[in-house]
Amino acid sequence: MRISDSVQFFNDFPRLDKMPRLFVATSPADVRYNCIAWAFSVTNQWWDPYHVWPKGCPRELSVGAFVRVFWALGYERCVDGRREAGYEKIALYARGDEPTHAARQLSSGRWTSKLGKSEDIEHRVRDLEGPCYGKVAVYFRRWRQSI
Amino acid sequence: MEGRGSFKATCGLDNYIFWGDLELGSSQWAVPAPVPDVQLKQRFNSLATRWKKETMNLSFVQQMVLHPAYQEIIGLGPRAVPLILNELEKEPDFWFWALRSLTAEDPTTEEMRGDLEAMTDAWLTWGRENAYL
Repeated sequence: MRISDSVQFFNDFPRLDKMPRLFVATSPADVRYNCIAWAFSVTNQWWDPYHVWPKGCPRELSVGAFVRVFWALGYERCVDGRREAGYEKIALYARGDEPTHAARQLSSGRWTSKLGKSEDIEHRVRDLEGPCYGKVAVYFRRWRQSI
Repeated sequence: MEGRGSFKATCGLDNYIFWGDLELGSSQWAVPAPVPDVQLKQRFNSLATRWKKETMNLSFVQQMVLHPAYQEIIGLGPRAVPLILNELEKEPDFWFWALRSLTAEDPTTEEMRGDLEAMTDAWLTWGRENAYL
């Protein structure tokens, strides 16, 4: 059974508990990387203030510190998660001032997330809001270098 | 008795060894290589399973280690160290925080940060060198 079929999964993400499923699991569980790493397409490192973190950025779990990280990596704040031609977007989720998760927008306009130590899923951006991740606090965008 | 005036005693639930020398007026505490009992192992397994399940979607280690089950594992004391290392040997996970708290050691280096496999290997090597595994 995939983790994304478990009771715990739908407790954490009740908005995903709908039929037909509006999300799809796209990888097996993997403890080697987390959502922030995956937001930057890294799959062999765990990115957080205690582990891999950009030089000079505050090593703290606050929205302000994470904004500094995204700036350092070339992102700017933007208004929303609507698809904009040529831009790659990231949504930062938070409960209060504490960041909880990041999701990356795909060229299709849907979003990809690495869920903790669990699986990658493709989903709608608001569907991860809830008791586990809180709400989207900030959207970032960066010119898509690969096009 | 090991010599005139010296003594050695075992006491407490954790089998701590207390030894000293009456003539020199010195004494020391030490913990022998821990032998986990069945009850401790059951408690640890139950807490570890709960921690893994309830934190599987959390993104940051700082949040995972604040989970009550993880804190309770740290509260089990040094006897939990071999159990944690056994668990780490089965499956890499973020046990490093607990191991540091319980042993006051950190065999990982700055370069290993974020590389779960390297951090796991460093702790398992430490565990073998210190006869925990």
